[in-house]
Amino acid sequence: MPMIRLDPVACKAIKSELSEKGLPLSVRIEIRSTGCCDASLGIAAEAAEADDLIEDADGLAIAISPATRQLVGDVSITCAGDSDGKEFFLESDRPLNEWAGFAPSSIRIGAKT
Amino acid sequence: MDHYKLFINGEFVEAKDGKVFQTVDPGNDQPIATVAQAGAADAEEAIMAARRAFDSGVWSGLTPAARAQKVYDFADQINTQALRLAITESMDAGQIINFSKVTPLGFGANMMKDLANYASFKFPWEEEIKVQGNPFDFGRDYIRREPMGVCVGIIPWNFPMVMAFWKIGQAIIMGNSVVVKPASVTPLTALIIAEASKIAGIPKGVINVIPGPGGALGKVLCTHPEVDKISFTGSTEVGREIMRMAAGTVKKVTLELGGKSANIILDDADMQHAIDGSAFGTYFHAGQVCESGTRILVQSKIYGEFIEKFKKRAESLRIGYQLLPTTHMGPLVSHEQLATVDGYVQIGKKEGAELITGGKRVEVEGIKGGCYYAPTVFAGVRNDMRIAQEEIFGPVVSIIKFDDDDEAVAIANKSIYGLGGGVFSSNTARAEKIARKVRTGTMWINNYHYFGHFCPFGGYKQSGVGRELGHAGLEEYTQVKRIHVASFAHSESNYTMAILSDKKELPKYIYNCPTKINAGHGALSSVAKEVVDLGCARVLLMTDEGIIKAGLAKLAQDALSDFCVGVFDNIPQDTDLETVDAATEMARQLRVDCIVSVGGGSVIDTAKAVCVTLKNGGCCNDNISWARLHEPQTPHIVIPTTAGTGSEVTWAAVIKNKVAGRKSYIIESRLAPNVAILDPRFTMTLPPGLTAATAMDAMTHAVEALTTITTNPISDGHALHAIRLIKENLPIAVKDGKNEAARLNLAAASTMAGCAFTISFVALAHAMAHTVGMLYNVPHGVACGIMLPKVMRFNVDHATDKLALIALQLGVNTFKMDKRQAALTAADEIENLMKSVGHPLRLRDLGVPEDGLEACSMHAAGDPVSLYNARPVASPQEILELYKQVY
Repeated sequence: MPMIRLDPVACKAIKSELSEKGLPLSVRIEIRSTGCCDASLGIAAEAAEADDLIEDADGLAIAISPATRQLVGDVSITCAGDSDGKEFFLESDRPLNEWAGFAPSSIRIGAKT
Repeated sequence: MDHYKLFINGEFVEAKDGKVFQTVDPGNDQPIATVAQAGAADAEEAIMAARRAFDSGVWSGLTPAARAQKVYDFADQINTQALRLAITESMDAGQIINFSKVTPLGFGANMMKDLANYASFKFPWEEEIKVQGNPFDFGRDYIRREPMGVCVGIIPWNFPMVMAFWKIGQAIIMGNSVVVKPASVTPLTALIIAEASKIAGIPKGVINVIPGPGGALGKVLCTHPEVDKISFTGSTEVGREIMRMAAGTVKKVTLELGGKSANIILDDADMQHAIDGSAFGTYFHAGQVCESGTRILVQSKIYGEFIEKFKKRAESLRIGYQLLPTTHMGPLVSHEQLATVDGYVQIGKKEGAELITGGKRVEVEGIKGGCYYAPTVFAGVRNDMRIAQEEIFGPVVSIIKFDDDDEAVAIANKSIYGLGGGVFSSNTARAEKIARKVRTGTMWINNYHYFGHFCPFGGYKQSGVGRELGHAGLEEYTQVKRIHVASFAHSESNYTMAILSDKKELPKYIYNCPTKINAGHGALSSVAKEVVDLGCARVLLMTDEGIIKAGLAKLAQDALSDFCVGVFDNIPQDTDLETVDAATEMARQLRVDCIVSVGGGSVIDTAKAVCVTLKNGGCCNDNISWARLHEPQTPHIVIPTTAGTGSEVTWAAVIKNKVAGRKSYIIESRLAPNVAILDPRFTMTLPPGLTAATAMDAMTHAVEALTTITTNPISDGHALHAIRLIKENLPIAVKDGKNEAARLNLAAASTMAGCAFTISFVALAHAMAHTVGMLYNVPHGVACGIMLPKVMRFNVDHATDKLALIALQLGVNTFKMDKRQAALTAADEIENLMKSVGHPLRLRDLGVPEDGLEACSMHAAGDPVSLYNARPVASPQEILELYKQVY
């Protein structure tokens, strides 16, 4: 079982967006705060960090920190239906909160890309 | 272990699928209760219970006062449960007991009582619309504010009890039913509040509480067709999705979302107060407050000192178990939140911010587990760092340096959020200046986290939409309904409905000519008594240079005696906005309470505009209006010196806007002067040409008032007699200007014609006269006279009866004529009258170029008064033909 289950449509959409922006095909799963109370999982267009766990999905490198992996377990990524491939649902074995999977998020373009 | 059930339709019930979850004390990781976990079926049942309760009127149908009485009972029950609520809240949400113990009374019972009382006595459930802003038809309009229906309240885990009070309280006080979904990690106090409502006798179904997973329940609650409003407090990401979901059934949504508020410390702030205020602004409830001032902006001059003292203050905070009264800062709500906060601290370090203190988890002595984190301070933070832009929702502060006030404002505003904020300064004016510039929902000056039941709370930008609390918050729980009651329940009397009819004449009329008329030789002497009767004492006399030179202004001034406190005489032939503003300024300086105008149309119109501007404030341009005024204006007495405009009794004033290059109109029934004094001595100095021109102005008023689509029998009476008086007296007055009887009759005719047309309006002849007056400075009365006979013939098949009556008034023997023939002779007779008094008959003689006629026709077609013409004007071409006839 892969620790990150990436839907093929989502994979294509992520790669497409990174390519459009001229970024390397590398993303990182992060915990991000989205204001008032609940944090959620998100995708950042960032290079992997030294101790990250990395998985390859059809040429796309997906990194996750060990601490995050330990907290949330395996992560699945799907494309949000009406988002033109710009938004994604991230769900995990151990949801960060009760709203996990409710709202899609977009790729954060990080400073380290 | 306690077990809590769902609260649906006034009963505590298990979830339909029997699911249960545990809630845990974040201070020691121990489970404290089991809770029934609502699923989609439970949400459906709760919504429908709320719907039935609402539709039955058992709550929504009560008067606000009756509801308030029940809410007071509810509040009393909350007070009864206060200790239980406080302890449960602390254990469930990690809130320190020193705060949670004041919440039930301070933010629950009192809030409910205060807002219920406000809704009962002060909230404008019904409001009359005194001015509709529709000058065409009449009626009564009023606003009714009604409950929305079924409201959903989704509340977060940081202040579960306060949020439950807000969502339940505001919804039910305004007559709604409510379904509340508490956060899954902190569900208990909302259920205790539901229990209090049951004991208080709030009807079944009005309040429903269903703890359960947001992701699953959210979809049901936000898309259900029986839900009318959603009030959500939580993350921006979820709020955005709720808004999207609600769009499917177009629900009203209010959102209170994230924040990254700036707390600005100016160099003149009391340092200790700023330190304490900033610590409270960020570390209260371990920073799990959406409006926390987690970006502390410190002016460079005091930056070093502030960092040093703030570090000591942060380190002085006592972290401990939340139920201990000595604890300053309790745990975070969960281990997930702990991980999130710590993650951001690591991000801050990697971004290059300087960690001054904290940045680590804390173990509390004697407690195994718990979600404690040290008060953390980052200095040297740039505003573009993630720790300065993203809401960490923990005890982590980013300190940012700024040099001047403008820079502080710029940094504060550089955020996707705008929820709260603060300024610390010893200079209130300086602090307020900054507070006004920050784009945020709340700014505290020398304070933080200060809430009040009557103080609205909500966000700018991505911090939300709508407001909680206060009048604004209550209004969010109502719909606005407008109810219109037509004054004339008759389709033919409805100006707008006539659009679909070929019958354009309106049989309705409202006759409102309130001006008192004192007429006769020596009537001037009545002016002082009229001032007294109007309750006034300080009169500004308004006139023009010509009237001064003719000695007429002096007559009026003497008659006013000591009441006259000033004279304004700088009024041009065609008055303008600047003239009105200058006169208004003089009136204000002299503390005038009455205007007496002596002059022709320009003077009277200037005075009318001054009366409106004095009463309503601002400048003249602020008061250019049509049917906006609903109360008496500054008293106005008119002494006309011409006999034509009728302005002494009309509702209109014409003011030139030189910048726009057009004339502006104030058209208001409240504009009619209080008193018109018709003293023939004041018109005897008019030369023959002006006498004829002004009389033809009055004649045109009378003829057109008779033939518009809004004519009526009362106006007709005035108009017909005015026509007779002009026909009989104009030749005499032109021949012998000192003939007082003729002058008085012409003055009366002008006034009557004024009464007639101010009710029935004027039409095409005026539209054409306005045009050549504006474009080629043709005097208004002259232009009206020239146009009138041609327009009468144009209208002959649409106003035959009236025109034939006019012929009779003009002395034509129509005995052997058919009505059409008689109507046509009326136009002939008007021309004969003009010829007999030497009135111009051709535009070519008045400087109008022939090649300008086409433009004139376009202009006249756009003049609104042409809409009232008896014969509908089909095209500018028809008007051009008429212009050519008088060229």
